[in-house]
Amino acid sequence: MGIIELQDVQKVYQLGKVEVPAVKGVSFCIEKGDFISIAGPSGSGKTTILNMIGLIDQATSGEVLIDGRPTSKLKDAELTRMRHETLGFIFQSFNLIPVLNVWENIEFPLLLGKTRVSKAEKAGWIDHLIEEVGLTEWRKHKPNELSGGQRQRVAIARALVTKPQIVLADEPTANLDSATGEQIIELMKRINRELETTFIFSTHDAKIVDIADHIIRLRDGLITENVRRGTPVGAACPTGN
Amino acid sequence: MIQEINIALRNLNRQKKRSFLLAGAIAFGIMIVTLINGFSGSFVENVNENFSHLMAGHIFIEGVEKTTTGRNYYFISDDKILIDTIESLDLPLQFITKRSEFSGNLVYNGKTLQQNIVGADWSKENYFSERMMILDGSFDNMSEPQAIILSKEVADRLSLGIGDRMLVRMKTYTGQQNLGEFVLAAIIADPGLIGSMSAYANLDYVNQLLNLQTGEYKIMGLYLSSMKPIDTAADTLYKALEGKVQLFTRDSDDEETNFVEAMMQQGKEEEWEGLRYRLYTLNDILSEVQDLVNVLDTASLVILLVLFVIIMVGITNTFRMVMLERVREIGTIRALGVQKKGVLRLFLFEALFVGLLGFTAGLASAGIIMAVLHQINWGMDTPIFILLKNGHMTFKLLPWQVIMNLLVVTALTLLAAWSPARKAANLEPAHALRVQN
Amino acid sequence: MRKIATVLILLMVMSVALTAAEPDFQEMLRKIDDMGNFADSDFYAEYTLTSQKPGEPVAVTKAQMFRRDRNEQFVFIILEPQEDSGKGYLKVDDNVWIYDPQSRAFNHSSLKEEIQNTDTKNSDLTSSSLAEDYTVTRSAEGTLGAFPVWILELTARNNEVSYAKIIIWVHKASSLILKEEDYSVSNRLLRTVAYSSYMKVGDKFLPGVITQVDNVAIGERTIVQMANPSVAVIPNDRFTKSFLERASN
Repeated sequence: MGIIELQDVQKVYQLGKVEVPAVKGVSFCIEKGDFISIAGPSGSGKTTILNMIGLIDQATSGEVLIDGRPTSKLKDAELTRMRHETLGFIFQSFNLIPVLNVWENIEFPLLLGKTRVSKAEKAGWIDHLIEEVGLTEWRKHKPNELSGGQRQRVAIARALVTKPQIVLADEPTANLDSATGEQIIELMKRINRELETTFIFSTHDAKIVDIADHIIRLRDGLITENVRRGTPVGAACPTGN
Repeated sequence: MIQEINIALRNLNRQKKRSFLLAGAIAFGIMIVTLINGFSGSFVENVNENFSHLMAGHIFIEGVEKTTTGRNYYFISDDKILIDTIESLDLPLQFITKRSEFSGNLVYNGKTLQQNIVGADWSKENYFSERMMILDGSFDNMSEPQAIILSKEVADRLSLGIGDRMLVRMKTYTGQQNLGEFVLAAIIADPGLIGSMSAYANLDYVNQLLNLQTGEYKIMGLYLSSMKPIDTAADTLYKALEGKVQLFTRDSDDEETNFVEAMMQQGKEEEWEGLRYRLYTLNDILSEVQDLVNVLDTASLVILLVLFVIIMVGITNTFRMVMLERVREIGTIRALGVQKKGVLRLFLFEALFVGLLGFTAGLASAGIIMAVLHQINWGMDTPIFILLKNGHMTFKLLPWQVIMNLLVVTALTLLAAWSPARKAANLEPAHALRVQN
Repeated sequence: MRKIATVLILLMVMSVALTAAEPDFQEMLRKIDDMGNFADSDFYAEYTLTSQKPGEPVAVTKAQMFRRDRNEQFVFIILEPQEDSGKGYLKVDDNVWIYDPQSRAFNHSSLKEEIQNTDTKNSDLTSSSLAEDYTVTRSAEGTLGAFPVWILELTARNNEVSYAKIIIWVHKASSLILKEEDYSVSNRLLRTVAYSSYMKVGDKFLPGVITQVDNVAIGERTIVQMANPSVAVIPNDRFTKSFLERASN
């Protein structure tokens, strides 16, 4: 069952009078619970594709389906709600809210939605996540008091706090040294296994690509390779089943 | 919402200096405006109260007789009907004063000086003597029938000392030349402005000089227990007197000429027999004071607006900067699921808190300045005496003015932050996230 | 006894004779008024008012007076000092106006008003109305310098005239006033006026010099000198506001 499907997605950026194609017709399907790597050199369209999946950017043509639902016609408010309910984000430069401490940063997405959970339940869940990412001692610290790796751990916990089906991570290790980067990927992988959350991360680091179940390689806005557990897969999601 | 408020407050805290400068500018504006409001609020009250003391009353009645030769004589001859009418009404009356006055030339030792001289029954107007600041001599000297109290300035200009006798050349109520003699009983501190124009003598002697008969005098003053009911009390009294005595009409059709002038005009143009009474109030005389207060209030509003146009430019610029600084942050929270409206509110809350902080600080600092100014005793001999209450500056803030200022500040601050906030809300999340800062 | 009776009768006759010799003072006032009034002609004169006050420089005011007493009209225009040039008084009907060339405005004034802060009133230079305003309440004979005079005490008939009491020294032969004392309501002497250098103007006599001494502000006095009096006809347009306005240009 495909949780994400891209159907001939194109993205053209308008830079002044020049049209720059970033993604030139890409189709693929992502299975629920997979740990996916979108790999390629910089400028290959990784971030653009991730943004489109993350509903923070829209395709110039083609369709992005999230959990079977087409998104190209949705309005900003609906896209925002979908992002909040379905997606979690991990950014290359962590993007924590500087005025909030670790605990509050993780809590933040929970305060946006309409679903109300009890305070105790919420606190328990946040504490669990903090423990999961190994920051229990740092829970009251502000982002600027943490190391890069620690910040990315906070970002992971924040991405997971709403229990999203999909977590998107755009070059999550690019700002970290390789040892820390590997730890972060390990952590993501572990959570992927434990929570069955679909993880999609982009990277240009060949070493960590291989950890993924499903690897989509890009070059110049086109897919050069689409392999799931060693087997090439088709562009469309299997129907029925 | 609570989270937005929380973040807005913390964002303010993030750039302490900037927030304080911004709030400080607002506070300064509010402080100035509050001070003006406070001053003008008590202005009317103090001026009216001081005048009511100087003039010995809040409501006044004068009698005017028209002679066959067409002249107007100002006096009250038989006040029984007036007193009876006043006493039959339920007015908030403290007491009634009877005064006569004239403008004459004091002559002493070859020097001449024009002076307005008020005659009063001091045994009944002791509240007045209590307010005088006697520098030399004593109020007890007023028991001498021809005693006079002069301001220091007048006594100095005529080189008069206590006990000196001076001549006074003046005209009787019918305009005849008369000459009298006063003996200086006391010298008082110059009460400034209007006050310096008057010297005080005994009613009986002033009446004698004016050639008025026993029981006659020029002005009756009704001293009320409070300033507030002046107009209603005057209306009640006027209605009660209508039909019993001849009265000048109180309402002036012409907006241009003030009411007292209009009554003077009536006195010239109309003809009647016997005494016709003129009833007027402190408010009628001091309508210009109210005009001045309106000017002050308008000026303060203009100042508020001018200051805030300047402050608004500052707020708009600051928030534009804030918006640019936080582009990626905005992208992040948008990605995390904050709606456009949420971003807008975040910015507006921040502006609102700056405004409220500034307003509170401004109000508080105005309060402190008012308290300090109020503590200073300017004395009774200052030229601004008439604006003061027993030598102290007083301030009266009307709640609606404070609320009005609050609303203006809030509205203008929000208006100033609106455009940057809108821009922030409308940022494309993907674009915002790409920005490196 | 008879002697006594004779003396008594003589005394009675004498007193009757004396009474008979005493003129009708009210008639005398009318005569005085008449002497100063030009009922049948116009009157023009130039006046110089010299005012002295202690501690102040002598102030000289020169002015022209146009009178038409039969209509109770007059115009009085100040020529000097320069700063007051063009300032004037105009009486038409019952109104006295003062004209200020600076503001080009007319304001209500009165005959009782002093001219230019001197001791002279408008009424001092216009037609006289002693008989109308006063009654003679006391009289005595005397001399003023070398002149035999009637000394008359006049009491105001109404309470509107400036002085409640006036004492005048009237030259017996000519009925001209030589001296005048003005009293306040409180019966105190306010000013003393001396009339001298009488001139014949038409068929009337007017004082060429009037000396007014202030008895309240000691040391203040004003001397009024009259020159070039004339009874020639004055153009009608003199007695109008527009004349004062034009004259100041």
